[in-house]
Amino acid sequence: MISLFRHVLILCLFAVTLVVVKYVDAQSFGTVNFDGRVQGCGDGVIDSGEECDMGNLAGASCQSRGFTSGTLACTSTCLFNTLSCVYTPPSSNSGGGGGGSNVTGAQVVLSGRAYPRSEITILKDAQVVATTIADDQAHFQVLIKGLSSGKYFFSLYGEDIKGIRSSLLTFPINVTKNILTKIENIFVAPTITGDKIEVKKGSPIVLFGQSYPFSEVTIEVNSTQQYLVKSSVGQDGVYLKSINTEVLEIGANYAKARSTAKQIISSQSAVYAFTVGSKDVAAIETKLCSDWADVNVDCRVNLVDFSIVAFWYLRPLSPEFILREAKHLNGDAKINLIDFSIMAFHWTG
Amino acid sequence: MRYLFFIFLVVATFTNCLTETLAATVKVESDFRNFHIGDSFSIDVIVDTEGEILNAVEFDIMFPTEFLSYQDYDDGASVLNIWIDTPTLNAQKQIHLAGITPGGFVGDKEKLITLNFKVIQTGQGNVDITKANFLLHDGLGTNAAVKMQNLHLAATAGKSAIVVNTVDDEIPESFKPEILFDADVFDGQAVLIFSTKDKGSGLDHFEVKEGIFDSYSQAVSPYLIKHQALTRKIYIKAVDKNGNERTEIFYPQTAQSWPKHVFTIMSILMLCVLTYILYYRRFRLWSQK
Repeated sequence: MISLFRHVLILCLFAVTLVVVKYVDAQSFGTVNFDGRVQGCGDGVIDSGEECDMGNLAGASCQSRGFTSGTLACTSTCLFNTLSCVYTPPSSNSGGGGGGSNVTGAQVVLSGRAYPRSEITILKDAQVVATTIADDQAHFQVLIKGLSSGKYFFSLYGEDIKGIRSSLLTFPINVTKNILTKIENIFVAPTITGDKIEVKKGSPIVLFGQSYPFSEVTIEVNSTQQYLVKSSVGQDGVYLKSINTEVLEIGANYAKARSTAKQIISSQSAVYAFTVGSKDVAAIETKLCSDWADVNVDCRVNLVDFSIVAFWYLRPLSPEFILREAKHLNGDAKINLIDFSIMAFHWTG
Repeated sequence: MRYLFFIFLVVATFTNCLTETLAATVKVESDFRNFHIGDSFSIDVIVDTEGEILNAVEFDIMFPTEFLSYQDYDDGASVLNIWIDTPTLNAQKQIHLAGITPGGFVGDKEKLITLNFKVIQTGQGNVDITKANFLLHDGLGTNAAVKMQNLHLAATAGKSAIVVNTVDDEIPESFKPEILFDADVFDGQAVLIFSTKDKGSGLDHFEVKEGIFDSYSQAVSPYLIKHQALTRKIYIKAVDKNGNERTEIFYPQTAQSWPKHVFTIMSILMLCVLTYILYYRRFRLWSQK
């Protein structure tokens, strides 16, 4: 009798333990944050939105990513780093701007110049398809597999040592089944920023950024008259140029840059806006993330922002969303094609 | 006076030429112009951007509804990556569409959309583009100047001769569904976002099911998740116009962490069983003594 009682008691204890465990589980369900890549990145567990996490590569390797050899790594943002992966095409018949060779399925290899050790993000039809890191000489190469035959829009941008993103470079590629298409000599636009947001006329303003090492950067300031200056890029990819504002008009001025290396010209940089006025106002901290179109303030303009904005398309906006529209879009208190055009311009994927 | 008039004429002509050169041209094109009842055919809407970079487009297509029936669209080769409005027949019997290309596009023969029609009667008429808005890729949403070129079609009685064979054996592009919580979208409830393209026949629709025991139902992005506890895997199936399918799975973090919890439960359970066995043996030994 005592034995039976003890057995029942122990079984009850098991049951209570299970209930407690289940309760703890249920509690944790209510507090989980699902938002993307940054959440949980660095804990070694591959969460939603992560390709890898620290040493956890989910069984992936350079070979499984389409390369022929090398060591696959994980970036700090939990995306695959294929810098140490090597791709040797089965045959090489390309030259100039691109070429093709026989492979299984449609594939594209993108290669070119960026900034030393910079992270390059590649978009396929507006969605991030790969990231890679340029080597010390600022060269990068990335292989995109699993494509269908047809026309794709590839875009890419680089991020410099200060975390400033280059302008988005977009180009269409027609790919064919069983053909490897190579796009070479891609030249990522330089980044550009300045030491002041307002400069006293006659005082110098220093414009700087990053580009391909030993290239030549041409800075163009759109004052009433166009003003061009050139600067040499150092081994670390950094350039810096002091500009005498005596030659610039009072008011808003816009600076942009292009790089030239080995007769190849980069795409045009984003625009750095500053005012020539009566006093000097330092650019205290470069704002890495633009407010433009980043509706959910995650430093990215992508399908998530698009979906939020599309929810209000041609509908009367709520008072709360009017404030967001004013901060991130054109501020006309309605969502129409213009807002989507602004979003497409600032897209990061 | 005559001299002044001549200068005015030259300036006006030059300005007109300049405007014409700078305007993007949107054309409606088809491989065939003359049809018979029962023919199925497609028209392409093509744009020559004249060197301008565009990133957002919206327009309506007006077609002779008395002898043509709109079937569907094919966006496999479209330069528009993301649809704001997929091509749909509106109340005015016009096909309306709006879309964007992040990063912009430029070119002299960029396809915006392919529209498929069927001839239902004899007749003739124009396919026209109306209410067109083409915006420049300048970060401001500036309107680009656009010229439109229509297409004249005619359908006569006779035997259908056009045979269109679409070969598409490739599944839609891979995609990564994302979850969104935003106070201004569905009151902050969990919403799933997805988008993809099919380079062959074009994407037809998406289907979603929540958990393995649920059944698929057609869905659009943003999709309001039924089971807000987010304990179930969500299957998103993209289906192209030829029936080829690609299924992607969204693993909510809770669903992903499920094996971890199972492991914890199993560990405790095993510990309990072990304790029970040890206790039972000791109890038996003690009883035997």
